[in-house]
Amino acid sequence: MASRYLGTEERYAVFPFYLCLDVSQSMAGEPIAQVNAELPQIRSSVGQDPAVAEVIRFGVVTFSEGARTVLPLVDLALVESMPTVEVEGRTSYSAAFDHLRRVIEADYHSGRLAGERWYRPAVLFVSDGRPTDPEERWLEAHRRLTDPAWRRHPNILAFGFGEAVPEILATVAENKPNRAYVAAEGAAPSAVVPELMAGLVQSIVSSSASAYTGSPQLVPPQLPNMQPIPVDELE
Amino acid sequence: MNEVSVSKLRLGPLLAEGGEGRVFEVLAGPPELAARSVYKQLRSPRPLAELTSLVEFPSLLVSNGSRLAARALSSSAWPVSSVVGDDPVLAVGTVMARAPAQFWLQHRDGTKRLATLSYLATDPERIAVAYGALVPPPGAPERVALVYALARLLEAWQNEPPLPRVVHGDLSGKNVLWSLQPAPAVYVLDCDGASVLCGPDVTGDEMAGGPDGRKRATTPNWDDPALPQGAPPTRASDRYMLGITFLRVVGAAHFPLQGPQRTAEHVNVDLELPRSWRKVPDLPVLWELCERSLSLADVEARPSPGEWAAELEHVLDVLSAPGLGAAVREAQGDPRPARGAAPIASRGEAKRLVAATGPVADVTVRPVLRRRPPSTWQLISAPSLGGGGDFVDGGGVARAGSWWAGGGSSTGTPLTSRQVARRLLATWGGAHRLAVGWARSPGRRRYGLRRLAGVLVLDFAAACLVFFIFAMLVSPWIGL
Repeated sequence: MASRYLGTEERYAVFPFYLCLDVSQSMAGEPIAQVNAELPQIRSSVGQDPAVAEVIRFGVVTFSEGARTVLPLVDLALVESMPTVEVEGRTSYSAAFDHLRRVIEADYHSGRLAGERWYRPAVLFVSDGRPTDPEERWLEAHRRLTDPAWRRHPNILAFGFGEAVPEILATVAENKPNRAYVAAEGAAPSAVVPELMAGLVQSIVSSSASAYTGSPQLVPPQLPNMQPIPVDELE
Repeated sequence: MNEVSVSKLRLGPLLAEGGEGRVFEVLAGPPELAARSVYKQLRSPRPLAELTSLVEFPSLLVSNGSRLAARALSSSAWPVSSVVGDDPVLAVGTVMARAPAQFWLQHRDGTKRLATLSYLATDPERIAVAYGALVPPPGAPERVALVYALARLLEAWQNEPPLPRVVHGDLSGKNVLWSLQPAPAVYVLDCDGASVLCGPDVTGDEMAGGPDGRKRATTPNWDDPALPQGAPPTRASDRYMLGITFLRVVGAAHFPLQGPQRTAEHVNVDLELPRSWRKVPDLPVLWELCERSLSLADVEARPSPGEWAAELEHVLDVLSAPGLGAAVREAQGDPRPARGAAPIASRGEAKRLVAATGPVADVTVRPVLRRRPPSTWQLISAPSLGGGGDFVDGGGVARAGSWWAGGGSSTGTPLTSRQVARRLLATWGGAHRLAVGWARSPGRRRYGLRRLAGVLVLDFAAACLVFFIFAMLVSPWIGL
């Protein structure tokens, strides 16, 4: 037991969330329109609440044939408007996983330079189809992203609808219990996407509350059989 | 009316949703219900008797001859009616007043949000940049006035037997709203989760859990670390929350205290305040109140809200803002000042008072008085009003600026001679206002008159000096 000093500059560790969105051709039409309609809701619910925005950092990564960052990891309170995402080509999971690893590593180091402490990042992986790249390639990229030897490896929650394959989603979520969720077969994207985005917002807000306790948890959306996941602080 | 059937309410849109229930606007209902009410639909129905005791709390205070009911009703969304469904012994919800317009804050993009304490418990520059809302700087008298308003509300709740008492249990950044217009005021939400205890035989802490022992909602980061996980809140935990509210609101920072308190033997808190706090003689007493409120070593020794109210009244008085305390009391419908200790005249007297109570074992709060650091954002117009500016929060526009702000020193640039002259004049005027304010204050009249005499002697000396300069230097020069 020791003595601790607290001053005005003392900050809470931040909780990084990466929304990793599939923007392949299969998302064309209503699904992508719904995503674009719901993204501002995340800014409104997370960024406009000072208590939530303070500890949450949020970024958006899209993937199809390649992957790119459409919203760099940011404090949503300082974002004027959310980007829109557009449909592109095929569905390369390996591009998504490789890009995520690079982005997380870079963001972590720039965050540390800015004096931030980080909780283990969370990736919210959303896809409506199966990967079009060879299985061994995306599995290898996934292994690099989730490699326990890499100290910044994220916790992944996977969500699928449309043509998404439950087994593949479970693999993306490292076959860990209660981390992958797929919409009921035949469920219309117009119903699924808003529900999913609302769930993600609620998940981020609930996780932010736990970040203040010093025992943070990645709280999944309130979907059946989903349980909070303990999160550690990165060194 | 104590009860209303849910079938008699015509509900409007969903306003908010939380762990305890969902809140709807009430479009129409029985004529006894006030306009601008909201209906909170509970996730799990509760015994009707429990909610009825909450509804009846203000009238119980009135029937016991207490004037504290006005505070309870003006400063909180108190349940005004229980709502029953098919089962006549279970309440499915409550009706309460909607937060008045003054407790809403407009962001730069036009959205309106409840003005929670979260806006105050963080860096004001961040709030200005992110939301376009200007909040008072750390240590501003307006911030003290808000904690004072909360202490007075808790004073109305934490009565002594035989008056009924209340434990709220979740006084947190998201449940306490604030406003500075027309007067500093707070408005506490989620009062339907509170427990009321009546009767002379039951102490405040025995009510823990309420009659049904139900689990209470608490907010991480605002909870009392002395309370075991899952244990129901007590009167002492509400007092802890008052202490941490003081620290975070007045210091405009997070002070992530609970984690270190759970793991470290001793926690030292450095509270940065503007140098104007130097003139507050009560500081040692105030820090001791803060330490006792936050201490986990002896939760029973946590100071009562009445002690806080009396002390903050003194502080407001000294911070050149004697009108703020009166404005808070007026807004709460109970203009009586706090009962309690006589004002403290000197730092030495305050230290003697603190020495008499002994040190707090596990928390030390230490004020660090320093000039405000260079600010990125400067306010253009800052009309000086007594001890500080005033802030228009409802419209998202603010006129800020306490008298110590808005000068050359805060930007790091050297002061011009005109600025120096203005500073001197402002200091001279402030010294007079303070002396006159104290002389008019019943509890401080003696000290005030002494200060006033000192100020007048200085005035006389200054007048003599001016006369001397004029007679010896200026008049020969101009040929008189």
